[in-house]
Amino acid sequence: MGDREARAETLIALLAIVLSGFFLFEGARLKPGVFEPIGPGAVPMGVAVVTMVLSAMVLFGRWRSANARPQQADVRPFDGPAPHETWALLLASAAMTAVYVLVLQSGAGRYGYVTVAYLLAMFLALSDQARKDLPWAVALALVFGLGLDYVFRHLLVADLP
Amino acid sequence: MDLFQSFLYLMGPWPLFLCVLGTGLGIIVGAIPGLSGAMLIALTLPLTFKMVPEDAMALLVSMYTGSITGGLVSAILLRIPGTPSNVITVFDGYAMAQKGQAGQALGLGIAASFFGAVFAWFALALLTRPLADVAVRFTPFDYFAMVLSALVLISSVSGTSMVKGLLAGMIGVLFAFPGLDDNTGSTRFTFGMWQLTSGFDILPVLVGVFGIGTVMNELLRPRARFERIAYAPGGMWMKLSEWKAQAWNLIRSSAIGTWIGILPGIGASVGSLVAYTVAKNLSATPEAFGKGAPTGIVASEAANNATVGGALIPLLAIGIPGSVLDVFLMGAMQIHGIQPGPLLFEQHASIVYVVIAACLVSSVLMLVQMVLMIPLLRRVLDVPRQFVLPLILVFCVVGVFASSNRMFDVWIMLGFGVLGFLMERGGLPLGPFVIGFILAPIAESRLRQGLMMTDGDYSPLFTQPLTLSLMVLSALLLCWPFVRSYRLARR
Repeated sequence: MGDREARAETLIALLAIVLSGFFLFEGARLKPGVFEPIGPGAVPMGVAVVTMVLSAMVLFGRWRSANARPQQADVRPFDGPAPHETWALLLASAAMTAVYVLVLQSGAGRYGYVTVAYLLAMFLALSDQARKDLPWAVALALVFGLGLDYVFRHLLVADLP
Repeated sequence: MDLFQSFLYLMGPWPLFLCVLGTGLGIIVGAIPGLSGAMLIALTLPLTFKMVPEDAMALLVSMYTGSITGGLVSAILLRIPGTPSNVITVFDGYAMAQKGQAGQALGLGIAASFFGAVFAWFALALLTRPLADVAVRFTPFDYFAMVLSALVLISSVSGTSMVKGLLAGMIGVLFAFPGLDDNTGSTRFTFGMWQLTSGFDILPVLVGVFGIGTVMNELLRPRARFERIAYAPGGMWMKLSEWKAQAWNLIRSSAIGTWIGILPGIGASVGSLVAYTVAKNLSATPEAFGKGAPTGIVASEAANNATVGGALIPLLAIGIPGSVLDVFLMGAMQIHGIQPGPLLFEQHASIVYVVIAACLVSSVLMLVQMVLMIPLLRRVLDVPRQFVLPLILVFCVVGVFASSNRMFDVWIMLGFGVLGFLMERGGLPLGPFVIGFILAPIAESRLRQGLMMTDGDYSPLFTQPLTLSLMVLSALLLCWPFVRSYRLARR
């Protein structure tokens, strides 16, 4: 397991402990049921305890393997050498998606136009030959952005943001 | 509508078009490494709202069948399994392709997939009704024990660590608790948000974990290119004598796949692994496996397709999904106001028979479309990811919003996407998470219902025969990794 995978594992285990803590705290405050023996908080609290124990086991396993031997290279049986990972691109895409959803939520623009702009920005951000891909990017953004607007509004008669 | 009428219904222009479309899309998505049938079905769910339930289920079942098979193309030609269920096919499929027998490997895989699917269909058609009749007599404790064993079972076979599998399952269970408590009528665990009064909707969670999470993983390497093996068309058809040599392997692997499909919670990838291992152990030439043995491809592909029909049996008869993909079908049924389980035959018989009929129709379509689409699939693998990934994100956003008209659900979907991404990075399998999320309400309500009936007495958990055997099975599965590591340490 690589460094990043180990960090993700640790992060998930810690998140699970926090989440379990919340369920234990909230569960203890729930009133017991009148007509039933265990009430609404018992099962969630039981699950929360089990989750905490499992998280602790994962954290202990991580700590033990980190101390036991030096980190080994990540082996990927099907991909050959591990591909280069582009975290900046992931974070930029996440930010653009968050902005896209915020703009849709604010009602600042019609769904179709906002989607065309978002798709165009994403296509070009992910492309390694932006100038060459530009015609395709524009065409696809227009077709899918305006097409989805039409399909959802007029064919599926669904509300859009 | 009975089974025969369901076949006639599916031969109508619109349902047949949906079956062809669903199978074709399933094959294409299954063939593209990184995309999965689960993601395709999750993205399609919102589009089925306007359909009648029978058409919606025909479309989704067809996608299910197609996606399990499509992955064998990239497994054989690229050495990358299109879906996890095709991992085992890589071992011998790619080796055969390297020897210049790619066409033969593809032919073997397609034909074995078809045989496995049809074999399992007979089990589906023959066993579902009797099992549903038995399931009507299950007690609430039986149901609780069944869900528990499903969760333990899937945790024990998903990923490399049982602890991580269980943790993933428990996190899924926790997220199922917020919302209105049916027994008391009060709300709980809503994080102070009124939008969570009805809990987390199925769609944002499933689309988030499988759609957004997958895209985030793929965004880490959007320009990845795959090494392709040379492939000359032709040579896909084997002689009858060669098939005769595979007959027993086909039947055995299909039976294994069907049985593993029936077991709650585990699906195609485990089915193909077990069938492959059995075929290798029984082979006179086990050393040939992994070096281009046709028997290996036949075992893997027959079994993984047989799990489709097998996994539908517990879903339709008991209301317990047989695999992760069945969770999506269960979610689709619930969205259409249909609760899978023993009463399904009484309340919505037409749905059951359409699902069963669609399983066979899509298997036949899969055979035809796979043969016809091989050249197209090789081109699909070339579609640049920078165009595919943003489109998936847009479909996720619009699909989830259209399902509830709430931007809140879109944010929930993005949140679960990040969770799914982190879980995959940390090696926590997503299967137990969604199984836990979808089955936890059933387990909790049945346990509380049972305890109300017995006035708080837990003893039926350990005295009723079916409940006891399931509890013992769960305990054995939980203990096995510790026993195994203890035995290894002693050696």
